[in-house]
Amino acid sequence: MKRNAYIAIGILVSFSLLVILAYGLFFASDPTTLPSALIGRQAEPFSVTTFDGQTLSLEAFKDRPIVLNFWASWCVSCRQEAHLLEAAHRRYTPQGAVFIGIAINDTPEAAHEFIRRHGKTYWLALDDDAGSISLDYGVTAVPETFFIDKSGVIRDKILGPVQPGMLDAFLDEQLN
Amino acid sequence: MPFWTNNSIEGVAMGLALAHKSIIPFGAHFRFRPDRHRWWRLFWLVTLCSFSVTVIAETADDRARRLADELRCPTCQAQSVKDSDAGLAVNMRNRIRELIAEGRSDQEIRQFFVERYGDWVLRSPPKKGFALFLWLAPGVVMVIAGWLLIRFIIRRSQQRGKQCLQPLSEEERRKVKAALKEVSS
Repeated sequence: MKRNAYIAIGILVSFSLLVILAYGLFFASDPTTLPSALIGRQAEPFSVTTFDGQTLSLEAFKDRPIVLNFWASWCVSCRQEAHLLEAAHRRYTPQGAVFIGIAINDTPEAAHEFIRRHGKTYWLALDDDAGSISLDYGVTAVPETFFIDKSGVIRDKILGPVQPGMLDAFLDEQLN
Repeated sequence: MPFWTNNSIEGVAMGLALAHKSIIPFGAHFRFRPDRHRWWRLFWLVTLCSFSVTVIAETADDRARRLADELRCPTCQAQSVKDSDAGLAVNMRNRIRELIAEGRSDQEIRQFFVERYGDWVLRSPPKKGFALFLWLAPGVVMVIAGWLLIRFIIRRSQQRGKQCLQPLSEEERRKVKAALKEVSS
């Protein structure tokens, strides 16, 4: 009995340590490895004034696939993906896709300079000082890109710079 | 604003001043007068002041800080929204204040962030599903381990007791008898 009791207590202690490990892996893990809570849900509508003074409303793009990108002029990874987004915009916007870039935690001057340097020509705007749009989309860092389908449902979220092929796979499926 | 709606130093000071006046009545000259109830009055006044400070008086700022402390900063590792200086954490703190100003409850504010960031954003896991198991597991393990330990101790003491109550062998009986004879003679 003495030996069995020690074995049982050992098993229980090991089990409790495993539970703590599971807790650590799940709740204290890196947010970039967790799936977004917004996937499969309707995209939050928003209205914003673009850098060229136009009013942009998400609801105006019903029945069109949307690529919503959050960026910042101080973000190094945003420079890596800038040309990819611009190239995809030039290819897919004539087919009906919509590209929107929202700068967060940035200044208008720095954002303007970034746009000029990277030759960005799609819908570009600055989030308000309270970061309303980025909070509504649960943004954790920049860059982050949301793929919103024709029915306005968020289909995917890319954390970090978009890779070649990601945009094509989503937009080809939506537009064909 | 009455002092009991504010948990500032001034509120506490006002409460202590009132407590002091309960011993020395307003307008009375300072003179030691034995009053056997005065310490009770002081006790109740200080107790009530403490309650007014800790229970009634949570300002909107305190509430915002408390809720920000319950949320995990999404851009930084192992920091709360309250403690982080990241731009996103600052935005989250401002949104908490906005939601409080709109009259949202604590649960509604937590839910606002959970809907956007998932359960991960809560520093304390929600007590449902797998997380409920995580909450209960340590307690269950401790109860079972405690029960096993008590059982082990009881059995061990019973075994020792049994060893003590073993009947004497024939040889031991003879030795005892011989010893008793020696003592009696």
